[in-house]
Amino acid sequence: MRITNNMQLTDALASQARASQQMYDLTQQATSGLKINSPSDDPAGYASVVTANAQISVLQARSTAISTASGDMSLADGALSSAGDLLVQAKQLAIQSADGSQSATDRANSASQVNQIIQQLVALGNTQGANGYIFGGTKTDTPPFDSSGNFTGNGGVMQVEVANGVLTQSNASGANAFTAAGGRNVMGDLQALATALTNNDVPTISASIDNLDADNNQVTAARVDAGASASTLQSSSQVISSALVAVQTSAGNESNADIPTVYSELTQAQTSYEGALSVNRQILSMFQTDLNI
Amino acid sequence: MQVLANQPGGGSINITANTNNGTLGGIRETRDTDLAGFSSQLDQFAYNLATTVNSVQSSGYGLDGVTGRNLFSQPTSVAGAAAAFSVDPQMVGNPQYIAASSTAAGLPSGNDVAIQLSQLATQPMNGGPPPAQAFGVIAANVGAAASAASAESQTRTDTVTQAQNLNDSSSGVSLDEEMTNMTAFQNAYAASAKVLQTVESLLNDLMEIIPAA
Repeated sequence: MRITNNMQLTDALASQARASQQMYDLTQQATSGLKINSPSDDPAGYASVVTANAQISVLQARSTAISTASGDMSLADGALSSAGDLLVQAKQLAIQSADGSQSATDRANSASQVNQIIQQLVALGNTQGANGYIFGGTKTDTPPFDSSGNFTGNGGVMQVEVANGVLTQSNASGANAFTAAGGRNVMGDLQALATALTNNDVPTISASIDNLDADNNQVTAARVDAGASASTLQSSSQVISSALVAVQTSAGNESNADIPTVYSELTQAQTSYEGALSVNRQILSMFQTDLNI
Repeated sequence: MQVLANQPGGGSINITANTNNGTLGGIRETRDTDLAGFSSQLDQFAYNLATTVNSVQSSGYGLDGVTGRNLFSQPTSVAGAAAAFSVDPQMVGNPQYIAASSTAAGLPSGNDVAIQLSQLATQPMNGGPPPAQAFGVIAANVGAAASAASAESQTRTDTVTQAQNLNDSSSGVSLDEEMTNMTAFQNAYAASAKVLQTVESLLNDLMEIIPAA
């Protein structure tokens, strides 16, 4: 084929443009740190990056929800444990007062102690967590117990999603722990004891000992439920953390540029660009020589 | 874009539909076929998203105890859904209207509808893939089309260059060749001038030899 000057120039310019484009692409990767800067760079890769980012958001949201719920659950665990201690105290007072050697004044003193226990239990029942009153069911904006121990909350259940389609309860039920919904009305039993003590009514006092045992069991059962939920939340949180790391790593592999590779490719592209430049200079100077003969 | 042709007697006719080739044809095809396809995919996505989210959101109760509110403006049709996609005007500035509870009695902390809303992220949307995957597919389609177009453009450019080279090869100018030819012709010209000069000198000598009659 006959080679004309035009052909030489056209080819040289095309090579230079290619080298220039390659340098531009690599510079973009090196400065952004991303392998995929627009969907056309790698359509399939871009789609999986979008999906992975969505998965990361979901996992992060779950992790936040779980950590809030865990805080409330451990608060509930502490409150229920203190409530159990208070019920043990009340039972001891009842056992003392059922003893025939106690005077009416002794029992009246015990009555005022039981009333204090009721007030402490009300305060525990009105414990506030990150999202309001933790024992009020879904009615978290008003105190679930009034000063005489009447329950105004509900038995509503709150849940968090710990994995796709897997829900775990995220509140401890005040209704099950302290009211007739769980078996016995704990506050009512304590009030009956206080009344019996005030009235010096020994048979009722004796009878209330068993009731207080049942109350303590009921609070303990609620505490066990709360503990089970808390431990599920805890282990889910660990599973989510490691899943998050795995998804972030694979999304990073898909979308992040490998900087050392990009730099060495950039150096190569620069070399070939400079090569094309010097070839172009050479060709142009050959034309000059031709014309100067 | 519209292409109009001037008529001899004045006035013009619309020939947009007949521009099938060249740069204008390419622009028209991009607008009427490629972009229209992507925008209808995007419309379908926006329609599905708004409808799915609204159907869950409107089943729950906001903090004020009101139910039946949409989170997004409900699109009336698939066409144009993406352009019209927006947060429902009554929701703007009123995050307390987001329905988290499935019953008025469950307020304020009932979160069953909120969980359903969050689950939309991982559930099939209107029979298709979950929202992120659906969006990824659209973006990948656009990316694949762009990358195919740029590869095809490269191929066409190479083809044109090759044809130009072939054309140049027969009709173009090679300075080396022309310079060589020119030198050869110059030498030939110089040689023939030399021959003429020699003949003239021969004739002159001959004339001097012959005595005048």
